[in-house]
Amino acid sequence: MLQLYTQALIDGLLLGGVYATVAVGLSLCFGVMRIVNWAHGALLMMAMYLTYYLVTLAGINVYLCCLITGAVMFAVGYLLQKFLFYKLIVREKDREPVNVLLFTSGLGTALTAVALIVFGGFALQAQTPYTGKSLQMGPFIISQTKLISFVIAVVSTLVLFFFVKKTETGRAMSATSQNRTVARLMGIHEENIYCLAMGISQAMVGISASLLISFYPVSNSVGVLFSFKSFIIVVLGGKGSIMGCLLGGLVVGVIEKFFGTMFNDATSQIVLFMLFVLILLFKPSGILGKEKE
Amino acid sequence: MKKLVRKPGRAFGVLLLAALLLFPAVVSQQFTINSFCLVFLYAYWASSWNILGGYTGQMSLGHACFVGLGAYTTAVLFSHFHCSPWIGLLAAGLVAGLASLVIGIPCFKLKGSYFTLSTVALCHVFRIVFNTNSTLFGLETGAAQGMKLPWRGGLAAMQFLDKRSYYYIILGMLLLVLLVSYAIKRSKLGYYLAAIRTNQDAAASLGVNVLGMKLTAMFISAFFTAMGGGLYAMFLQYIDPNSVFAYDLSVKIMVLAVVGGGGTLWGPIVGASLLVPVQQILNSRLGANLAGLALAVYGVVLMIVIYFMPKGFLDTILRWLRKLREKLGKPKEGQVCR
Repeated sequence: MLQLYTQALIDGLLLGGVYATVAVGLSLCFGVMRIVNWAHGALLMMAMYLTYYLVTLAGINVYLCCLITGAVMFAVGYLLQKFLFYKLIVREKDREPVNVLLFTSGLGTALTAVALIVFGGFALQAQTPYTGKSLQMGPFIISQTKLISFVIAVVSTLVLFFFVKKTETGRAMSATSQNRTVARLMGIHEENIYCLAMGISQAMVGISASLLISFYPVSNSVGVLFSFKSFIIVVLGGKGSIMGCLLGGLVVGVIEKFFGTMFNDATSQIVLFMLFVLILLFKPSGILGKEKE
Repeated sequence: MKKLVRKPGRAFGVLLLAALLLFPAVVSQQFTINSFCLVFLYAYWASSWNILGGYTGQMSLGHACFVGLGAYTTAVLFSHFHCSPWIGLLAAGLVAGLASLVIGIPCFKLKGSYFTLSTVALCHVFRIVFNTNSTLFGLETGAAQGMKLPWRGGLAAMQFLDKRSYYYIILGMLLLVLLVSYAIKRSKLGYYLAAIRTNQDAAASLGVNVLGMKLTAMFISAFFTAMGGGLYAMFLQYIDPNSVFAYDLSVKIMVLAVVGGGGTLWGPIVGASLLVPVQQILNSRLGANLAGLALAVYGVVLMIVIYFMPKGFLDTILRWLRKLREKLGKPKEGQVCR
């Protein structure tokens, strides 16, 4: 019994690390721009299809694909922000940008529907040299794909964390998130920062898509599913906090595996939602968040 | 009569209503009647959504949850308790209304996107619960296979072989929700809601009970949405969790209202009458081959409208009409001067 739950804990932690990388882009966007990207999951789904075909048709190593999808998605995010989202944000300055919400949910809906038409409704599982291999550590089994994905996920999240905290550009981002007007007075070019933030956010999505595809089948319903999980993680960890996101991801992963083992998948989804509501009720700023709002 | 002439909008409305009332007498083709029923039903849902999403500015993406609750309440009452759907619809409204209060109290702690998210998540949970349990509270709901309603027939059972009866019932409900929306807009409540939409903090500082008003709006909105859900169950005679608790349905309801013009009385009607027929044509022509096309169109139209006409179609149409009237009106004034 104990062994079963320890196994669930290990699986949950490994999965949670990857979830955190998916969610961190969403969190960054919210932190810097106060916008929530409703197309987040749909873009992840597209990146997963891209990786799937890179792996299956071009035969590229699935972990090398991280670099390609990361770069492609950076460009996608940068351009989306520059040509579409930025104008919408500028148009409504003071209020909560409702139009961005509507616009991105339209984008997400369209992408999901197009994916159904183009790629079909069935789930695609990529075959990699690592698929099905696992390490035996005492009584526990650790999937090789999940372990490698976990390591890459955590490293890239930490790199992002230090980028935001330590570099000039990263600090400019934090400044913009704290106070747009003052940041502009300090000579920070707001539009560039916004485009960069969205680019980085999507680059993280691209990386996590490649990590996910090594063990998770892609279908057009993946988008909505991961949007949902990412939102829960962002709320758990505190909006805009990168380290909170990592912690939130691990918590969500562990809960999912734990209750999945104890009962079934449906129960684990319901438990996640209950947790989400409880956090909203008692600590809306998240686990690591400071009480400010 | 003079009033009607002076206000062309009102005259147009009266004519349109008369035409809609007479329409089934002229056309009896079931497919056409069926299409009209769906347009009315989506217009009805979009109008109900508009009370919360448009007037109050709380973008709910979980209205399918109320549709589903309403549909299941009505269906369960009808098949297990032999309760007439006319009472079932009211019960459906009350169940969904109560659910909306339970949901609203925690979720309204959040603003904007996070409120929207909580509605999505909730609908998701309801779908899972209904999909995985074949009995709920000891009543059979059939899990993912859904429920087929027993045939009893007649007015009391709201089961008709002729779709024209549903046409009149749905049209009547649509008029009802429009009347309620109009009353809300003109009432104190309506002004409070508008204040909350424009600036919540300012409204609160002026003494508006923000949470109370939001809950009221959500209750009314959920009540009517669920009644539509019950009607949908009677109309199709079959329901399943994946179609009534669907995220797609929530998106459609929202898109219709927003594309038409969120926060206006006629916006949802305009949105539904423009987009639902497109969806019907796409589904009937391409249907099986391109399952997602209708939804893709919805998404793209939403993006285009938000980008180019943020106030919705209705606003744009009205502006065109005003320009047209100015152009037509000018020579007349000249004549009067002479």
